[in-house]
Amino acid sequence: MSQNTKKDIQQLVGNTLRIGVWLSFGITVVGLLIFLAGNSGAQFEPGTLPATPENFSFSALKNGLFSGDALSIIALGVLILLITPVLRVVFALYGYWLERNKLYMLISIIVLGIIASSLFIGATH
Amino acid sequence: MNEISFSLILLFGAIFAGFIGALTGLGGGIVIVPLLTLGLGVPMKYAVAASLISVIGTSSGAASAYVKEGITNMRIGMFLEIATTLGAILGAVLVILVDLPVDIIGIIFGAVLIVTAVLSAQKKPDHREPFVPGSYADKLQLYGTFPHNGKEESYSSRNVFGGFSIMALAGFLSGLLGVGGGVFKVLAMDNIMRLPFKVSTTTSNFMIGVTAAASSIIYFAGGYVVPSIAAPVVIGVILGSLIGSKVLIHINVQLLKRIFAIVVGILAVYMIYNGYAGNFSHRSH
Repeated sequence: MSQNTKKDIQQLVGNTLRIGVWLSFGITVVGLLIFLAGNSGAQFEPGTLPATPENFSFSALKNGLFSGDALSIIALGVLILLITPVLRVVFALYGYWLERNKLYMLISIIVLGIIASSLFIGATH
Repeated sequence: MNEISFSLILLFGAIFAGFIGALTGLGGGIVIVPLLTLGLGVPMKYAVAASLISVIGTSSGAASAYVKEGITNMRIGMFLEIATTLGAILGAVLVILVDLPVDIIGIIFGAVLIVTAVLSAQKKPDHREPFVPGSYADKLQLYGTFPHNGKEESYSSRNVFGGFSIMALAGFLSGLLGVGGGVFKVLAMDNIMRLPFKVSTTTSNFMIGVTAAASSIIYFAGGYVVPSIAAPVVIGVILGSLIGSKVLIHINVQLLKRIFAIVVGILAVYMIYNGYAGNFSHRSH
């Protein structure tokens, strides 16, 4: 792979990380402001959080977003932040494919597989 | 507690954590978990989950700058991420599925803080390992060049499997305690794999995000990421680390690191005492 392509991949990876962080930041700020505006007098007792909460559900998030629910907006912001480093691995995999570096294509796929498995592990508690 | 006061306290605490984290290079996680658990009475699992999310924020923010400079070794990072993500998943599984007693997590947290304080106070070695054909470093392509004092310097790595093992430990502690584990990652790359200091520091930062993503997806899928806790933490830590990185250029880092080592030491004793007294389990369930 040429030096330019390598620089391009580095730029792509760097930009992904930065855009992901700021997009997540912006959405989370908006969500928190809406939430606080609507719950200014509400009480929050962290000690009363359940020992075993309900699993996260994508359909609940989707419904929440469509109804403008502030907590769902925050959850979306958090989700974007979570996905950012995963996307970074995907772009690296693309870079290794351009390089025809089979070893590192395999290693990137292993890392993605491990991360994907955590999605299932989390939902089994 | 009032929702707004809770958010504001957490927001300012997180700004402080991010600020300190950026100045010392230790990340905000080691301040966030004690603040949430002992300060605000948030149950340990929820605190670890929120802290991990903030770790991704600071790591990704800082890493974006380093990657562009071409110092980060993406291959070494990717290879070692096999170890850190596996370790991170094991750590999260111990917390969520095995239900490790939260007081024990508090004690381990304190012990890790002590190790962190000691390791970060030590002088960092700066190696240039020669490339050895046929070595594991060669087979696994764990070598590279980086810009240093205006020219490209080449380096290779040693003790690949030793480094891999310490990385698994770093990932494990990250998933268990909600910290970045950067000190252990740098230890693995600096002292064991003998990489140049700048390469190990930036590559470590680069890896922290992926490592924290692997374990925080478990917490997220399990429902432990509570939006009203996560939001002030994420916002505060990102803002704090941004301010920290701007201030960093103008201050005496050595002095600050010493002060921070003392603060971390006190925090460590406090966490171990509260774990021993059973205060983490009393406050939650």
